[in-house]
Formats: sequence, structure tokens, C-alpha cells
Amino acid sequence: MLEVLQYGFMQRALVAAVLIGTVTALIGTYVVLRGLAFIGAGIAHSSFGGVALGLLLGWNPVATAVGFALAVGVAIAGLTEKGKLKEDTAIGIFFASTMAFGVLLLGFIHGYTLDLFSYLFGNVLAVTTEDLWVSGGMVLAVLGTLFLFYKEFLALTFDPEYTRVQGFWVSGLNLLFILLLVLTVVLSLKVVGIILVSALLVIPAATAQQLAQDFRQMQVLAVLFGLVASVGGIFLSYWLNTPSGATIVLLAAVLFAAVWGARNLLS
Amino acid sequence: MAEVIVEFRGVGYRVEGQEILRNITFSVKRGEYLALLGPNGAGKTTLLRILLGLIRPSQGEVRVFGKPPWHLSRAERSRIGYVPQLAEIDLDFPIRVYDVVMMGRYGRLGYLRRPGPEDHRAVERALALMGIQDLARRRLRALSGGQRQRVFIARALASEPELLVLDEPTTSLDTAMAEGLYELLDQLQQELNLTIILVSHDVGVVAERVDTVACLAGELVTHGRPQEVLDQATLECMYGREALVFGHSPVPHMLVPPHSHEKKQHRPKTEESSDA
Repeated sequence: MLEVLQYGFMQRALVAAVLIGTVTALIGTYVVLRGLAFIGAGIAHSSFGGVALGLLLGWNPVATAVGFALAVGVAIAGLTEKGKLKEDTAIGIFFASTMAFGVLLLGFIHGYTLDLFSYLFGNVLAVTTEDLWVSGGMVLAVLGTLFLFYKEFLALTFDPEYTRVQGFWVSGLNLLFILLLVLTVVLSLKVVGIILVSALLVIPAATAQQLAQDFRQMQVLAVLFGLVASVGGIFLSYWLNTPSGATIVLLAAVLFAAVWGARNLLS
Repeated sequence: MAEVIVEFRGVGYRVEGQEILRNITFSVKRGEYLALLGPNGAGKTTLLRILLGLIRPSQGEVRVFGKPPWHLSRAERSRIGYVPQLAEIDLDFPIRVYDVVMMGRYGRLGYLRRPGPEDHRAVERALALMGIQDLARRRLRALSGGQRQRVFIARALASEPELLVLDEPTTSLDTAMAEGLYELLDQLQQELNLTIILVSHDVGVVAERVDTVACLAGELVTHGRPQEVLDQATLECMYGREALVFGHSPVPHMLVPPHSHEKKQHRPKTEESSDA
């Protein structure tokens, strides 16, 4: 049953799943508690424009997507910070227009559309060893920053105005958080895809929130649910011959439903 | 003569052509207990935001601990303990009382530093002052409104402030709980020699306890000792209608018709309509 582990592509897929399951769930706790699920989706979709741009110009699509999505994230944060635009309006605008930009570029690319398709829906078979090194580096950077700024991000999430009153640079912390979110989203693209990555930001953290008594517990549980969904999803998709991204997200959703149901039936 | 801690001189605030505050001048001395009163929309929150350095006034000068509040360093800011309106807090946030109170220490700690023994001692002290040591391990959501309010005052006290600023602390509390909270504030002021600025629209209760009241309605209507300034004219100005003042205590009390601060037609006050 576990002979699949002999395959190189499966080993790479599992390593990717562990990296992504951990980091999306951890970032996801902040996303869920701050109500930023829509920003996650917006950033993911805007990276489509970046990937298409990278493919067209022959640049590294992941690096291009990071730059592109970061610009969009900063623009959204900047436009909504001073109340010039409502946040969901700003995201709604960027969400669609960057996606449209990607589709437009797609028209100029011949023969690369299959590659682009794998960014949209994720394809574990496409994960290369080089991808893993890049992902590993980015995951370390994100986890390290979350660890260093644990106190600041907790305060920012719980009570941003109080944090500002205390003299912390809240706009700066917000930007740092957007950067971490962009890195997380982009490095998850190859496995779960643009369309589904926002689910991975939300579902494990929301499942953990049902059970957690404090924030640390929520983070530990979220990582646990994230790992079960991503690693379990990879195995399931291999055995059932289903797309990896969709299997991972559905498994995460089933876990959420089970926890939510058990909690509401028991109480 | 006690040191002046907060000073507003000719402060005005406009946003998008609309004048929210106009020519506000007052000061608060160390150890003073000031109630900032006024109806909804009087600019209380704006004044508070200026005081806390969150926004800058369009006109005039503000000094908190001798500096414009937006220039206060993080260490200087921890001399201000701020208790926000509780409506802003997400109760589904999984967090324990102890951790909320610890956040009061973050300003003193600054970036990247973790709480040490001194911070834990300050949290314990703040919990004890508010009489909520037993609740330390409880989840915020599992508390009553009154207990929750004490948690947020404890958070403010954890930074060992000299000035305590409370924004409408009794809005979500019933009368008995509000009374308990006011008594606690009295005690704190005496024990810690705190300077307190209390934002409220609860004229009757507050006036009995504070040293000074400032009535705000875009501008300062009055500022002074409650016995001297809380008269019929003040209340009418604040509430814009037939507020009744009567005095069976040194401080005038008042009665206002239901929803008196809303700009709608006043219903005839009859027995029949009172429970409609």
C-alpha cells in the first residue's frame, strides 16, 4: 500500500504537502480571525496574472507571481487603509482585473497553456526538486517571521486600534503580514492551484477555531488539520486517481464538517 | 499645584469640510478624575482619538505628558492606559483572560521582545486590582459583560499607567454592574493616584463621582466642578430638549424623555403610550 512512496514524484508531492499544509494553516489562523479570507482569494487570483506574465516573458513564473501579487496586496492595503475604498470593493476590482490580465496574456502564449492550467488547479506531478527548495526556503522565512512577530501579530489580530495606541507601527505590521500571505499563497499554487488555495487558508484554521481555548491551541490544531488534509489528500488523490488540489480541499472541508457537527451535536 | 498631564488649546477638527470639534480648550491635572460627557455625535470619540495620538487636530495644540500625543514614544505611550469600547472586540477570538491582560505589557516590551518575570508580575497585580485572579485561565467569551469590562481595565492597568482613559465603559452593563465598575474606578484612583478621563453619556451617575466634568457638543459647553457647572442650561445644550434637573443631592440629577437625544418627534408622555 505504501509502495507509492518509492516514486520520486510522490516523495516530492508529500514534502510539498507537509510544507504547504503547515504554512497555510498557520497563516490561516490570522486570516480567519481578522476576516481576511477574501484578501487571500484576491491575492491568489492576482497571482494568475503574474504567472501568465512570467510564462510570456520567460521569467520564473513563481518569482513573477510573488512580485505581482505583492504589488496587488500592497495596493489593496493602501487603498483601503485611509478608507478611500472599501476593502471588499478594492479586492473585487483587483481580483477580476488581474485575472483578466492573465487571460489576455494567455492569448499571446502558444503551447504553454497546459502549464498555466496546472497553476490554476494545481498538479503535484508538476512539483520539481527545485520547486521544493524554493518552497522550503519561503516556508522557513514565513515561519521564522511568524515566530519572531508572534506577539505583534497576536495584538494586531485581536485589537488593532489598541496596538496602534500602544505605539506599534500597525500599517507596517499589516504590510509585513500581506507579504507573508503572498509568499504562502504563491508557494502553494503548484499543489492546490490558484482557485483552491484560499480554501486552505480558511478551512483548517476555521476547524481549529471550533475547538481551541486559546490562540496557541488554535495554531497547533490548525497545523494538525492542515497536515491531515494535505498529506491525506495527496494519498487519496493517488489511490482514487483524482486531482490533488480538489481532493485536499474536500478532505479539509469534510474535517471541518465533522468537527462542527460533533461540536454542535454534543453541546 | 499639580502637574498638567493633558492640555488642549483651541483644538479643532474638520473632516471633509465638516467641523467635528471647535475651539476645545481644557486641561487635566495629575490625580484629576474627569468625565467627558456629551450626546452621540458630540465628538467625544474624535477628541479621544486626538488625545491618544491616533489622529491629528486640524487646529490648535494638544499636549499629553508635555508632548503632542502623536510624537510620544512607545515607552511614553505606556503611561496611558486605554480601555476601548467593548463592542469592537470579537468574542469568538480564542483567548484567555491572562493573555488579554498581558497585551497591556506589549507597548512597554516593544518589538520582538517576549514577556519576562516582571511582565508576569504586572499582569498578576492588574488581575488582583480588578479582583479577577480567579478568571485568569477562563476564555474571554465565557465571561459576563461586567467581568469582561474588568479584563480590559486590567489590560490597561498592566502597563502601569499614570493616565487611564475609558471610552463608554458601561454601555453594555446593567445598572448594578455599572455601579460596581464606578466604585472600582473610585478605588483605583485613590489607591494608585491615577488620573482618569472617563467618556460617558451617563450624566447623573458620573457627576457624583468625578472631580471635573467637561460637556462636549462639538465645542466645550462647560468645564468645571460638577456642582458648579451641571445646570439646566448645560443639560439642555447637551440633550437639546426639555431635560429636567432636580436636586435631592449636592449634584443635580436629570430626567430625560425616552430617546431624547434622537432627533425625532417627541411622543406625548401618557401612561398609555409609555409601554407601547
